[in-house]
Amino acid sequence: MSTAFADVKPFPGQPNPRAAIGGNKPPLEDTIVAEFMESLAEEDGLLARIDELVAKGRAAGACDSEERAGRYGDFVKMAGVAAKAVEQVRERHNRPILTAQRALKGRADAIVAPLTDAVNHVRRQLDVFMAEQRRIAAERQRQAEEQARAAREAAEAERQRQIDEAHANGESAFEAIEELGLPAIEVKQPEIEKPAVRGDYGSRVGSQTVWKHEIVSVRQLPDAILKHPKTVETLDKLIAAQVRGGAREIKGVRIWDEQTTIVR
Amino acid sequence: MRSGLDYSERREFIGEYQGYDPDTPVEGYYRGYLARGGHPVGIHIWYGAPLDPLTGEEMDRGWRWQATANGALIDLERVWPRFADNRIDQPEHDHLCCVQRWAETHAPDSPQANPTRPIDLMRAPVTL
Repeated sequence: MSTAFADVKPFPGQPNPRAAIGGNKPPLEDTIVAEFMESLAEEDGLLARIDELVAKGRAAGACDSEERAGRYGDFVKMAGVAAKAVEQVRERHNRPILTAQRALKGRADAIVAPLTDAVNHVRRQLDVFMAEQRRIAAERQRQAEEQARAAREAAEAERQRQIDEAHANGESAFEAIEELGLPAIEVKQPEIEKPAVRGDYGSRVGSQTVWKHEIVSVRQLPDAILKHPKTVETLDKLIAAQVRGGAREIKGVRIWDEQTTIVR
Repeated sequence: MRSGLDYSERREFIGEYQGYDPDTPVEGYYRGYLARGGHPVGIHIWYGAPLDPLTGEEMDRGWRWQATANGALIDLERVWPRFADNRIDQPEHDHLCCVQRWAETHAPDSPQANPTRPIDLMRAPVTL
């Protein structure tokens, strides 16, 4: 937007996002937490109850009788109910946000999905073309190697012929080489050509070597892999599921029982 | 495929009957609940002369099976054989009765004073 005065800077083109109705609202994370705290305060005595449970729980002494153990069990139950009440309030506030997140992601995915299909289609065409280019490059390389090998053999034959001539003249092979100044047989190695394509907008399409693998025998894997923390963690999970299911003997595993306290 | 058994054929039952006979209670003291999630009450089941509901004295009537819950008469069908597994001794039963009597006087809103109401874990007193 031009102004009447040449030395005055033009009005900024980007609108200020806060210069709109509601632009002075606090961020969503502050708003939602404030609403959550308000809802908690509206729940009849919930926060006071939690404070009471926390204070009494921290002051609890040693458990020295069955009656006391019963009271401690009741306390654990009461604390669980209070925590559940807080969770219910949180869920009430979280549900609309979760639904909105899912709707937003669904909408964005619906827009991107046809694009992904189109890209996959183009990539398939590209893969076919690049495979053909690699095949042609491999063929050229093979031919170049053939030529190099033939040139090497020819040079070797010539060298041998000259040495034989020197022999025929009564000279030793070493003297002949020194006198003739025969160069070392050097044949230029053909460069491995990788096909690469450049687009007008800066894209580069090329080939990349990707190494893949398949486990043939788990038992032959080295210790560095079998004893890796991630492997052990996965094995722990599988074994725990089997022990929970009733397995009491698994080779290589020590299984034992412990008594723990549960409150129902 | 249908089984070849003839279900109309009577067979001898192999084994012992488990469980309690609902028509023949066992005298004694039990822990029971008058509401789901309520405070336990002491149940007393006995075979004897009926009690006067006003004075509590034994009446000169035919003996019958009777039950009380914390001292108050209750239908036998409500407590037998439902609480037959929760057998307790007399001191424990008397303690439960005393707890309710005390709570009715000193803590009328507590779960102990209202065994017919489920315990509200959000409002029950915290006793550690």
